[in-house]
Amino acid sequence: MLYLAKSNPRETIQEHTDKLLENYNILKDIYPNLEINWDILKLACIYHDLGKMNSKFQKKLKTGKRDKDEVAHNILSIGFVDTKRLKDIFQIDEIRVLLQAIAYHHERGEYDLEKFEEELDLMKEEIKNFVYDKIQIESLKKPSIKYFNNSRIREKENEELFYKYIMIKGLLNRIDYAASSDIKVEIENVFLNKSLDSWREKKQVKWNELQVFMGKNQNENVIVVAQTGMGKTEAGLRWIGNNKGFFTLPLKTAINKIYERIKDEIIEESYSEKIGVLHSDTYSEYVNLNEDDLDIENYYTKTKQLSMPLTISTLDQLFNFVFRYRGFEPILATLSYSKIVIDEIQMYSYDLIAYLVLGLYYISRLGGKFAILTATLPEFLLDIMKEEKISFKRAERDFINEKVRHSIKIEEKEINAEDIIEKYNKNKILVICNTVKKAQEMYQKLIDNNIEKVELLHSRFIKKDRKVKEKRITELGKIESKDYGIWVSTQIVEASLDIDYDLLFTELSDLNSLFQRMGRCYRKREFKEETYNCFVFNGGEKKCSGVGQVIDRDIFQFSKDILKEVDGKIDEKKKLELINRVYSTEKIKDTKYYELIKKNISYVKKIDDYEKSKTEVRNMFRNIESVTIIPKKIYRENKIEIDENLEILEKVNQKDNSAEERKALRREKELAKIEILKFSVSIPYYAFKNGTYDEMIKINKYEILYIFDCEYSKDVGVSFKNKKNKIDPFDC
Amino acid sequence: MKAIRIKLYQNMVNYKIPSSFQLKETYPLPPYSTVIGMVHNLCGYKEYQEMKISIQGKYHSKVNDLYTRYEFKNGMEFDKGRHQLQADKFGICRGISTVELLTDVELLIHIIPENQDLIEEIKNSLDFPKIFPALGRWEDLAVIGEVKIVEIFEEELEEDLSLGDNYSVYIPLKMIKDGKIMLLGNGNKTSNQGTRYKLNKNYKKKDYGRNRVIRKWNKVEVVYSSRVLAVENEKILLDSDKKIVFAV
Repeated sequence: MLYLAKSNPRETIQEHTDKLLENYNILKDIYPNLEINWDILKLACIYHDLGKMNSKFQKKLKTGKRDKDEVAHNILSIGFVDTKRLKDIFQIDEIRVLLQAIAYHHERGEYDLEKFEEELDLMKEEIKNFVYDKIQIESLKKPSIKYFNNSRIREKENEELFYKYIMIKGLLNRIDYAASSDIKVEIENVFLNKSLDSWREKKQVKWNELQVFMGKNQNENVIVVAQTGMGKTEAGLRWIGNNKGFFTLPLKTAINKIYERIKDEIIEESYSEKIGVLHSDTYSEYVNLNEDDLDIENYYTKTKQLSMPLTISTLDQLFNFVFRYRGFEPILATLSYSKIVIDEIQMYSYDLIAYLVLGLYYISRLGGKFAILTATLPEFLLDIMKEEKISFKRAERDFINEKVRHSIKIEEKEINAEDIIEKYNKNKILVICNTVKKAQEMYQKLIDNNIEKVELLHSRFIKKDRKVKEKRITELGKIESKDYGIWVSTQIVEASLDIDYDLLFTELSDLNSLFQRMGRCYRKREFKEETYNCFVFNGGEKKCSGVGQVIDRDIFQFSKDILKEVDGKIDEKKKLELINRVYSTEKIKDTKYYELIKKNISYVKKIDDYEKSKTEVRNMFRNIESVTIIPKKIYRENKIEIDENLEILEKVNQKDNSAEERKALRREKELAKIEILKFSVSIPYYAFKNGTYDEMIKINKYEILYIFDCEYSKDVGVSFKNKKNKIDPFDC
Repeated sequence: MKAIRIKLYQNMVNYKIPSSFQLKETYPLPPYSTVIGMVHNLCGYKEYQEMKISIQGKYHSKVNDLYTRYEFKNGMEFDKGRHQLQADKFGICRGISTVELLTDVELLIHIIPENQDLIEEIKNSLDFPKIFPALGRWEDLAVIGEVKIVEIFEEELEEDLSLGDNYSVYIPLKMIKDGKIMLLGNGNKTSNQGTRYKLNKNYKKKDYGRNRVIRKWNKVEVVYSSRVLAVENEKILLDSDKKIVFAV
């Protein structure tokens, strides 16, 4: 008799389990030294789906209808485990881990003893017909409460056991998912060292000090300060070497750029077996690659299942396991044998810093390695990490060069158009304000003064316009460009844009972000003149825009005070020294910012293991306070195109569609979605609440676009009719 | 070793939690002292006879009822204008208050007297009580269903053994610590299982002089739970009908 594990495509329990064992062997071959009990993991693979033998499940596969009395197969499977025999081979705790891993390999079903035993009785007939060369099933039995008591293994009760459980359960999940989606659970990294070497030969460069340091310290957790332009990406890759690696960055745009750069410059061939990009829009990114030979579906699955040797990712895709939500185990188990590079740490807000610290604790505890590469390092963060008992090696020296690139003039007043106009003189000028509103005002003033070649870039342009603008700001920002102009912007240019302007006019936010902004001016050039190239407006008597909301009040004040001693040329060493003084634990510990980090850490720690669901955590983690809209005007102008794409989105698969047709439809839909999203922009939630919308568009089950009533122009972006609003912390 | 096993039924009953006054709260099962008191009363013992007790059972629901509450205040003089009873020159306040009552209580109690010669005598007093049996308050009648002398012995379990009949039980903490008894969790929800009580068992009188004699209670730590299993391969006390004995 045939017992099915899956109906589409049809697969028996035996076939499915065989696939798991194949993947088990792949994993064991690549990582034979993992500190787990391989025999237990193998048993978990063999037993995990046997519960599917029950007639109610089999009926469900055939008819598609669920029997209300069905006991979840993951729970039933534990009835097959012959604890009487196993107890002579394994310790009680190991059998506990085994049963827990099986029972919770899906997060569904209840362990109701009566129903469970009834179902087991019914299955006694089935096991007689079930033939499988990997296992002999003699009898079915409710496991003793000492092996399974329907109460999860928790960190507070038994830390060691908790970690053992995470590994077995997490790897069982990984192997199971891989078997189900016909991919390999792991693709071994055997290429990176070689790729880097041939890249170096091609470029005819030597590894610089930073890159040498990282190569030497491959087996350590390291924290390194390195200036922009020191080849941090290559340094990170060298540290990863021929190991499974993750590279995390804060912004999707930055991630896509690094991904594309590594893929094109360093990896070159068969990249879809080597490197992946992981964030909420992975699929779009892969569709956008526009490669006909690429099996997007397969590539996407491999990336999502964390099977790729190298993955460039956002923090939220990896680190939400710190909440220990139901089903968190596969990520942490994977990271336990991976190496994680954390870049641009200064960009993370207080809540993400908290998650990061906790995540690093768990990862290093379970055997994973991390490297923090950053342009500036707030000292207090090191102390927090020490408090959390994370061990790491801090590079003895910072990797900076001697070149003087900047000369700062502190202006004791608010940012204003006159000063900019005076210095324009056909230079390339970058003006950075703390908030969108301020940037729009500045832009308007410059326009009112009939200044030529003024443009504006901030986060409130529809995607299509923003993309054009980003391209234009980058074009002008290239050293080779002989053109001139003024770009007014916000902190969105702080990272990810590789631009080089002649003069910077900026509002003061905090020191960290100021130095990031200065990185967009004289990015690699040396500044040899006796004048200034960075003008920092500290607001004078008043505060700069966004202080108290976007920017911590105290840290703003510290930055303002310390900058009083700066006038004229400043080198990298001096910058780091100032940063160390402003962000020392002593100084920061009384700020609200610090308190928020500490509070967040202890909040997350207090959450019970398995208390939250994955969805809850996803929303908490991203702290989503924005809404995606299409401005009414834009919608009207592009209604025909939008409607055409909406029609595509409404298409559904027919029953007799082949796998190929299904793939094609998904791709078509994804493209349609991208087309629609080109007209969208995300706005802060408060602004959305204060406005009105006419209708909404459903992209899919989860994503909705509102046709929002607001002003929009290609030059200024979204501006709201209602002006009385407070500034949102994420409005930049 | 032998024990007397009683099955009894009560319609509405309060096993008062000692520190509850304004609302008389009830334990979910009678505490040891209450059971020991009933046995001693029915047998007419004037001195404490050392005995071990095991209590399990269930109730259908819980209701609140009114009762007449008397309040004695030290040195309170009788005041005609108030709602008081007169006791000589003192006044006793009288009013109403609330009492929790368990309904349709079913209990299975094991009594193991240390002096095993008392077995027959105790059984006899329970079979033919001299006065009406009550457990809890004096008005909480106990309908004794079955009284049986059973053999008690330790057995190594082949597999887990449950209480059956949806019973709950007071588990002496030691049995949990020794791993003989385990509680079933409730999936993802919380890690807490059962309710912990410190129950009165027996007392010794302590003389503080000047006519002040105070009862010093021997308290027993237990966990009250319904999701209880005796663990396989462990040595567990059972009676001749394979009922688990939680003697303390």
